[in-house]
Amino acid sequence: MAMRVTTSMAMNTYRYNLQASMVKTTNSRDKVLTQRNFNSYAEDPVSATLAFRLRRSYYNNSNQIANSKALIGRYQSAWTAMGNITTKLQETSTDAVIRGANQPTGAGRVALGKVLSEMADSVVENLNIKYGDHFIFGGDDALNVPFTWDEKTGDLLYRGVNVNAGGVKKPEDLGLNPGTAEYDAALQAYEKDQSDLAKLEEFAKDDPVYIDLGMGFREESRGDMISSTAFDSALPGISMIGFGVDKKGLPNNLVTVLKKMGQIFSRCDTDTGDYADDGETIKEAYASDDDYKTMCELLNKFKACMSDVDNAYTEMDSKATYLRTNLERLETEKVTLNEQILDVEQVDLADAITSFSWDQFCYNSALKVGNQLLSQSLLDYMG
Amino acid sequence: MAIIGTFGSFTAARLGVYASQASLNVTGHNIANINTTGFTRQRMDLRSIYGGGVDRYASQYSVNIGYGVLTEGVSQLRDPFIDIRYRTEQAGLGQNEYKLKGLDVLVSKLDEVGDGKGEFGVIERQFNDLLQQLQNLSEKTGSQEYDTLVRGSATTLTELFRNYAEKLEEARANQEKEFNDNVDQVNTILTNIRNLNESIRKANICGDKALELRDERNLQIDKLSKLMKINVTYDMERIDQYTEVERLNIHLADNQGRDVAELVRGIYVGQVSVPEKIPELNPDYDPAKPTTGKYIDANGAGTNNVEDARLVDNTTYQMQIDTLKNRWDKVFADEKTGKVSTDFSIPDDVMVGGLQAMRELLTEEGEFASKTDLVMDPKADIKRGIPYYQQSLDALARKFAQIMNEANQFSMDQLGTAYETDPMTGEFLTGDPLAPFTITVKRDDTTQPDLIVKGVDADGKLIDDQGNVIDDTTLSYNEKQQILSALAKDGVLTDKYRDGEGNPTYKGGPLFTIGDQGDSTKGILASNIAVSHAWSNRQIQIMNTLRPNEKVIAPPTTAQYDSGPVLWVQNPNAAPTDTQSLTIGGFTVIAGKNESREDVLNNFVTLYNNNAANTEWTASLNKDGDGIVFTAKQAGSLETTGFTPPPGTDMKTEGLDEREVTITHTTANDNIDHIIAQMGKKFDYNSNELGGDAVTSDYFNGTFQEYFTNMSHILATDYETTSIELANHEIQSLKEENNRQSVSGVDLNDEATNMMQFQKSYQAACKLLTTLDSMLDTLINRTI
Repeated sequence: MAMRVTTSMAMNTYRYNLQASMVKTTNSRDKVLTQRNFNSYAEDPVSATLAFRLRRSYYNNSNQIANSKALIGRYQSAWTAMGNITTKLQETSTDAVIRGANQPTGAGRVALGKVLSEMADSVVENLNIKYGDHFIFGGDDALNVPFTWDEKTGDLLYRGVNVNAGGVKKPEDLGLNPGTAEYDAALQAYEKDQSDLAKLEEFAKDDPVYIDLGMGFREESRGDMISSTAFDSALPGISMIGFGVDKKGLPNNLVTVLKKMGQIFSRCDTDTGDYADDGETIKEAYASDDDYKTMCELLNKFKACMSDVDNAYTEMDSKATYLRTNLERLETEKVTLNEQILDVEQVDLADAITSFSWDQFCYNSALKVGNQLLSQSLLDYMG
Repeated sequence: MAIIGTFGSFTAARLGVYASQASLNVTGHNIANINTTGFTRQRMDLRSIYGGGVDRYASQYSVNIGYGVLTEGVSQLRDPFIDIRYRTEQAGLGQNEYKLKGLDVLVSKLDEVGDGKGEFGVIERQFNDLLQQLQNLSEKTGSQEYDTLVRGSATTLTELFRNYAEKLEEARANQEKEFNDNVDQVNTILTNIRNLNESIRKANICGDKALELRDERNLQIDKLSKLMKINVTYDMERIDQYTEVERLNIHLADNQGRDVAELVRGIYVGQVSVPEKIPELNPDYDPAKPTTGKYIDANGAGTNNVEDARLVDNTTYQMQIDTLKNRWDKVFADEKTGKVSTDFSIPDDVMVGGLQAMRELLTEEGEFASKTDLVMDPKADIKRGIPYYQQSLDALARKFAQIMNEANQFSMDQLGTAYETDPMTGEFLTGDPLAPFTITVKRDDTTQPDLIVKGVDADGKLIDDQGNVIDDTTLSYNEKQQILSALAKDGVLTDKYRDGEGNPTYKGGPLFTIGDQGDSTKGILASNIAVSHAWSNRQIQIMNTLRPNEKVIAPPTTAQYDSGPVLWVQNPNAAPTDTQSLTIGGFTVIAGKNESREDVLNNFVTLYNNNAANTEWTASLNKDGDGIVFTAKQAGSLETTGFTPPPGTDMKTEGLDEREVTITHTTANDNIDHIIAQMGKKFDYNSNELGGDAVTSDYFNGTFQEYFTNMSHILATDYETTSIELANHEIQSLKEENNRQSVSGVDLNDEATNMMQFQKSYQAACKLLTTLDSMLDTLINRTI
């Protein structure tokens, strides 16, 4: 016997299918309205997980771009300051130094000495510039002025440490015998000087301020960032203009060299132009034989310092170039991430509208079928 | 010979009319109830009346003719096997439907797809925002306003945690109410079934089939089958020696369809209840070794006797079927075995159906399931209900708070140098004057005595009040927090962590607490996590660096004065008695004119240094040996020492007083970078971290955001699976319902045909009456 199909069977099945059609139409409409491939996690868990992961990367990328832009701004200021220093040094100081060395009269030299001293002050002022709240060349202590002058000794200090550290000799090298007061004093001075030198080396090379620019940003241990995974944004001013002394005891610091040259020129005799010292006539109008010798050496030192400053400037420039290149990479990455996110989340509008239209059509058809559902039966034909 | 008498045929005709009329009534009844839910179509049972038997003196010419038709009764057309299949599907449908309903509520609370600003999610986005603020702070270290921005973002995050926890608790409370309401509904259905059974029984005793009541009862059973998987059987109940009536029995079934417990035995019905106290289960129970004892008795030992078991609160909503009773509270006793009905505690892993789904949503903890849970249900650790998501969120909040707090405070090995300690005893010092103090640590294990921490030893290790070293690796997070909090409040930082004016440069401390005034970090959950008061009041902030300030002490230098080359003219021809004086630095010596300068100067040094009046300077030869260098006997400036330079000498080295320079790291950001790194670091999540007795250990490894996404993923996967199963059960259920309708449903075509048929038979019977009447009329009136 064939299966009986009763009215309620037909109604049950119709109701179920109509509801299913309604649900499909609603989902299609939601896709068109929200323009999303899925509107809940359950609709597509895999895509949803991927979407959140991509968005996290996008957010991180945005942070890194912001960091890059802020750093570029700071580096531009630093670059400008260093540019000022090198330009003025090349234009004024070199001229002053050459003229001072060749000037026949002491009077001219005294004036040039003043120029050199003021130039030294100007260099320090340029290195003490700020970007926002931070002193650009302050390393990891950028809330405090990096370069100051010692009130008592007149030495240039970087973060409170004498930039000319390293020049004090060991008491043994001075021919002093242990046990004497002079030896103890000399030893004390030597140890303090070595400590200052170590500090300066640390400031120059080991005081990083790491910023996340999308290179991985990983720690070796707490507080110990893996250097290749982050950008060291610190610009220790001391590494720009040198520190310590060379083997001859001459300062490596540009400002100190300028100051010393300025002082030597300032000590020149302005009246006679030359004078006798111990009965000997000095050719040049320097204050003393020592001054003359020192000046000759400082002239060479000055050129070496200028070269070091140029190197530091170039290195900073290359870092700034890296920042710009990295920024371009990050911005490209941002576009890529955005495309990936859209690819995962965003629905193809043409597809969505087509699907919605079709589902809507099917639903309308189902409604029409409903009108025919309660078909005629034998009762309608009985007399 | 079958002689039915003159008027016997009228009886046959009358019976035919009656049968046709009755059948038409049944047809009409079917048509009238075509839309009645649960109605089973009926049919009139007709039986031909036949005299039966053989005459004693039968003749071959005798013809036995029937006496007409008898309406035996009305019966239903229903297939009980389709009912069984339908109800089995209903149990699965109910289980998935109620589960999906519960999951839907959770999805509405936890699903962040397409939500939030920029469709980045809500909590997900807030984590990103916090990271962004930390990145800004890293680049602008030392700026208070950026710390405020970080704090603002963190505050929002904690508020979101609490909000989500509140929503989950609300979902749980609503689910509990729904569960209780459905338990009541089950009991109502069971009571209705009992009442119907009583009515049907009475009707059956009186010979009535009570078809409509049976339909009503089937409807109730269908409703019940959605909430619980049941087996329905029928047997015969003996009323007296002559009478037996059909009895309906309903058993609770397990997921394999086996009977577990009696629910209904005719007019005796049990009720489902959720007792407040249940016997405590033995977490060490091994079904393979029943002697371990399923329950725990009052002495804490295992026992299999439920009466001896210790009672505990019923937090798992374990259900029980109460004793089967009739309307007058008479307890059911099986008439064959004599067994009397008792309360039956339903095992955890047996029930199937809507009620079980609601119960699992209320109780299942997934990876947080305890040993006891697993004893009750071996699959407890893979089932996840609202408690799982609540504990999962709590675990995330706690881990986040713990990591952030640790990142913003000193580690244990820094305490030795960070805080003032007595150099002799190692005790922590506080107050003014510096006085020793101890820290009392409440242990997590409350059975252990408090730990008294006195200070640190020479290696910076913690020591107790007996001076014994404490292994800080054995201290829990909470215990360490107690030490750090006590030190932060009462401890005195060393100079390394103070600036030149004595202000503390260390601003570290716990960032997240339970929100109390005491900034306690114990028991942080999603429902109570808050930014600490100390951070809100700016007593602490994000610690930018672990590097301490460095004090560079420039020791005092000693003044030196130089006489320069001393003019001494030697006259080798001078007489031994010829002398001349030499004054250097205000001190005069007499020397022979023939002495060399070197001898004279050496003599000068000896005499000068031996002269008791020379209290300020020490003389020595200069490096060229042609002059004298005077060195101050005390380091420091001339202002400090009060010394006067030796007359006639030039300053060689200035005497400087001791100077202190503090090297600071105001914009070092290593610790901020550490906190940022922690935001992206993967951590292990252990199910025991919330302090429970979960069996599963590490259940997830990932970052904070990955953990949260994982929660949503698990929920979504569960939802998707349940949706698919529900759709499947719906289709199967629909098919069975249609099968049932195919047998039991009223079809208009069928009824119309019946109507025509019975109308014709009625007409025929009436025609027969007319014919018989005409025959008799002819016989009586027209035959002499």
